[in-house]
Amino acid sequence: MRVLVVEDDDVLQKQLLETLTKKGYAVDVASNGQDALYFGTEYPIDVAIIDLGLPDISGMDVIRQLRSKDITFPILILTARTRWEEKVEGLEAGADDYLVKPFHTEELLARMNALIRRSVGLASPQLICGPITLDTNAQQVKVADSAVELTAYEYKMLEYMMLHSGRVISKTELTEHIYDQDFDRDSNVIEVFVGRLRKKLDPNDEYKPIETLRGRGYRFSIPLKG
Amino acid sequence: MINSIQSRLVLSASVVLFCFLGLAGFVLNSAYQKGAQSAQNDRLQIHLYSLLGKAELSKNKRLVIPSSLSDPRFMQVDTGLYAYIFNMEGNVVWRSASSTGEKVDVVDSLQPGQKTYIHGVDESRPNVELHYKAILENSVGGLNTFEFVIVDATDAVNNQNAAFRSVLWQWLGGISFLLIIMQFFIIRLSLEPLRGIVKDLEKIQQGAAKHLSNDYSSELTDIANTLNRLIDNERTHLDRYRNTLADLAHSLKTPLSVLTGLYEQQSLTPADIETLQVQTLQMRQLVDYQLQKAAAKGHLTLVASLKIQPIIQQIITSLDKVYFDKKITPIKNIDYDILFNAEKGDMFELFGNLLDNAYKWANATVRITLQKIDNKEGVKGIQIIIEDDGPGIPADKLDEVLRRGIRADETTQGHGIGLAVVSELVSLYEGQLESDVSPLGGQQWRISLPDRSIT
Repeated sequence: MRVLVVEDDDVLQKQLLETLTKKGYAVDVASNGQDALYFGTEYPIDVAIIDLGLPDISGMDVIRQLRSKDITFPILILTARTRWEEKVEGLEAGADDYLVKPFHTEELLARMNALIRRSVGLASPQLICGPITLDTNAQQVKVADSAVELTAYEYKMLEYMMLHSGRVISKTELTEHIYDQDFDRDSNVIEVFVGRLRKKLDPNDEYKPIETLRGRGYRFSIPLKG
Repeated sequence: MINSIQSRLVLSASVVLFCFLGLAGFVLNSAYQKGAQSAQNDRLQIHLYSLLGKAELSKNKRLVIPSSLSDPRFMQVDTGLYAYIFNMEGNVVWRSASSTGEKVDVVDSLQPGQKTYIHGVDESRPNVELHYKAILENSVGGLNTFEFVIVDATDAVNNQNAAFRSVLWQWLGGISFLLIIMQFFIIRLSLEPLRGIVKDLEKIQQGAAKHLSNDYSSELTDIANTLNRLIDNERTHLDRYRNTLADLAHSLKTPLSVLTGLYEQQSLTPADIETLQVQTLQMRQLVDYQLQKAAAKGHLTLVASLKIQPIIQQIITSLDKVYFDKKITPIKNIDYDILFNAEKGDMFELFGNLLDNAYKWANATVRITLQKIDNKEGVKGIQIIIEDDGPGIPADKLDEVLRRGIRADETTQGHGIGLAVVSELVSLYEGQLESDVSPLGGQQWRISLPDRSIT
C-alpha cells in the first residue's frame, strides 16, 4: 500500500514516515501543497494523509484540486482544529475522514485501513478469500483458523493482492504499491516474496491462491467475500 | 468640524435658506420693478392722451395747442417732464415750456398709430421717452401726421426701487440670520440625546457606568438596547475567556504534577506508561474542551437569523461519509424554514457533536427532529431531538458524560468531550438539555433553545 503523507511539521512527518514504513507501507512524504499535488497526480497512491495547515497551498485546496483532477484515492485529513465547521468543510472538499491532532498511531492506522477497504467497496475490516482471512485491524492472517506469521512486506503484498483478487496484477504495479523507492525492476524480489507467501499460506499446495501468468504478472485466484 | 452632525445640519440648512431667501428676494425685487415701470408707463400714456386731446389741426393743416397743459411740471424748467411734437420732416413744431435746453430725437421707423418706449440717459438723468405717431384731422377733412414725444425722468422711480431693494434685503437678511440662529438651537436640542449617549459611553469606557441608561429618545431606544447587548456580550465573552484560561491552567496542573512525579523513575514500568497515557489523554481532552468552550459565541445580537436545516444537512452528509461502513439510515424530521438567532460555528458544534455521538453508537438508525416552539406561554424557540438505536447512556453515567472533559468510558471510543461541549453551549444559549430513552431503543437527547432575537 502506497501512502502519501502531507505534513509540514518535520517531527511529525518523520514520526509518521517511520511508523508507516515499519508497518509495511510504501510512504511518499510532502512538506507542502505543491509537492503533495505532484505526488498525488503522478504516483499510484492508495491513500493520502493530508495536514490542513500547509505553508503554501492550504490542505483544503490541495484536496479540492486533487478531486477536480478526478483523483479518487481516499484522503484522511489531519488537523489541529477541532471545530465541526472545519471538519465538515474538509469532508465537503473531498476528504473521506478526519483525525484531530494529537492522535494515537493505532487510530490513524485503523482509519487508514478502513479507508483503503472502503475504496475497494468493502465494509468489513476482515478480508476473507476462501480459507484465508486477513484482519486489517489486528494485522493478522489466518489460514483455516490457524495464524500465519508474515513480515510487514509480505503482509502488505497479500493485502494488496486480496483487495484486488481476480485481477491480473503486474510486477510493476506490485512494486509501485509496496516499495517507496525506485527499485531494480529486473530483480527477482517480487518473485521471492510471492514464493514465500505461497509457502506460508499454502504449505501443502492445496488452495493455490496465487496464480502466475507468464509475462503478465500474478492473480489472486480465490474471490474476496463481500 | 465638517464631521460633526450639528455643523453638517447647520451648514446645509444655511445653504438651503440662503438659496431660498435669495431667490425670493430676486423675484420680489423684479416684480416690484416691473410694477413701478408699468405704473410710470401708464403715467406717460395719460400725459400723451391729455396732450393729444388738446392738439388740434387748423384749416391750413398747422398744429395748434390752444391752452396750457394740465400738469404744472410741463411749465417749469428741470422738472424732468417734457413734451415735444415733431412734424413729418422731423422738426419740432411744439415743445413744452419745461423742455428748454433739452433735446430729443424722433423715431423714424414709427408708423402712424404706433407707440414705443425708449429708456435712456439724458444729461446724466435716466429717463423714459414715449413716442407716438398720430394723424390729426382738421374741420375740413385735411390730414397731417405728427410725432408726439413725452419724456419723464425715471430717477424718482429708480430711487423708489432702490429704497424698496434695500428694505427688502435688510428684512430678508434679518430673517435668515434669525432662522439660522433658531436652526442652530433646534439642531442642538435635537442632537442632545446623541450627546447623552456619547457621554454615557465615555463613562462606560472609564468604568464609571455599566450600561447605557435608556432615556435618550424613542428613536435611539433600539440603538441603546443593541449597544447594551453588545456591551453585555463583550463582557460575557471576556469573562468566559478569562474563566477558560484560568480553568485550563488549573486543570492542567494535576496531570502535570503526576507527570513530574515520573521524572524520579529510573526506568518506566508498564504501569508508569499507562499513567503517562492516561495523563496525556486527559490533558489533550482538557485543552480540546476549553478551546471549544472559549470558541462558543452564544446568541448574536447584530446578525440576521441563521437557517438551521442546511447545517444539519451538511453534517449528516459528512457523517454518512465518515461512518460509511456502519450504513446508518438517518431519519430527518426537519422544519426546513426554521431560522434561529445563533452563531454558525456554535450550531455546527451543537449538531456535529450530538449527531457524531448518535452515529457512533447507533446500530442502524439515527433520527433528528427539528421543530419550532411557539407555545401559549409565549416561549419561542427551537426544539431539537436527536436519537439513536444504540445502547444508550446509563442514567448513572449521564452526569459524568456531561461533565467537562471526562469520558464515560476511558478505554474505548467514548462520548469524549463532545457532550460536555453541547451541555456548555445549551446553557450559553439559555436552553435546556434532557436525556431520555428513545423509542428507537437508544439514547435520546432533547434540547430546547429559546429565541433571543430582537423583533
